Amino acid sequence: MDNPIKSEHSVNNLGELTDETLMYRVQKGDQQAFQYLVKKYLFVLHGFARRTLNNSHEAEDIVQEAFLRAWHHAEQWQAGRAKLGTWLHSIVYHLCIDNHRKNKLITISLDETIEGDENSEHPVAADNLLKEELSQQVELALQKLPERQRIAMTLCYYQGLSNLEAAEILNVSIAALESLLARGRRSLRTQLQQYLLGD
Amino acid sequence: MNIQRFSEILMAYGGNPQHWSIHEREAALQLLASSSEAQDLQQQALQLDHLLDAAPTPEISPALQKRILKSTQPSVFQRIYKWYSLKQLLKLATAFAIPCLVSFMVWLAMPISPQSKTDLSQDVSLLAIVDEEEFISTEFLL
Repeated sequence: MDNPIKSEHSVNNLGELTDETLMYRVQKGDQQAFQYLVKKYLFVLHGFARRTLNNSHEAEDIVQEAFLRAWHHAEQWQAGRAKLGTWLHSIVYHLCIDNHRKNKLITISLDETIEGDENSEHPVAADNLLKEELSQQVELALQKLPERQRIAMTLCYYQGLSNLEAAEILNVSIAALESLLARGRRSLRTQLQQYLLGD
Repeated sequence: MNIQRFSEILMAYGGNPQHWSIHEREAALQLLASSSEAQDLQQQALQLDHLLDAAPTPEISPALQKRILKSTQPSVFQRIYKWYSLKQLLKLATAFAIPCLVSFMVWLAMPISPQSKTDLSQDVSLLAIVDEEEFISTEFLL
């Protein structure tokens, strides 16, 4: 296998490299490889943090800290043990848990509003209003889930991780993960009953 | 794969086969193709999936990527230290010290030449301490 460090791949060709090769270069201090990984995973990890914390600023801080840790402790990731995406999700997950313990967030109530441009003065069409309302209600319902159910739902449904990867991050068995997911979906179905077709 | 397990899969992962475990997906799809009950269950699960798909996509600050990359840049001190690491400093010091030491030792070992004695006598005479010839003849030397 060619030495990735001595490879003549330019920045534009980094997309042709596997995550394993990129991380090997990051472990050697390659800033360009790290920059590419940030670009590749930033949106995904931010989405996970945002849905877990329901706070944009905290989510950004968490993601920044996660990438910082990935940079300084890149040697802790080993190819074959876990996918890079799983490892990064795991870092974000633990930072979110630490954040939760520090801030002692409570499950929001029915009356509590969610983040959003609720006071917008721009007129929108009726169907867009319905979509906007539905969107807010779905987000509200997700935030009302117990933390572990919400995180399990986010990992499996929104982040697209496999059940094995999600179970590894949460440090639970597959059966326990499925239990979390089933309870989460049951709760969401109850909360969003009025929007289900034919109900 | 039976209808009970298929129902459990739907309850956990939803109606989209892409979210099902890869190890059970094929068997579940076969059951789905042959069972109307399985198809009804999938439709119910897909209803909730469609609602979940309406969740807003989190917006991300455009400056976040720059902040992350900036935070991983080494400080000026770290760059200097990396360039002039202790090992390199020792190498540089050794490279300069040895020639300097050798030169100093050579200078110390060098005898004072007669020419230098004459120069000294001229300097002394200029100072009008003694006559130059007298100075040389008396070998008034340090």
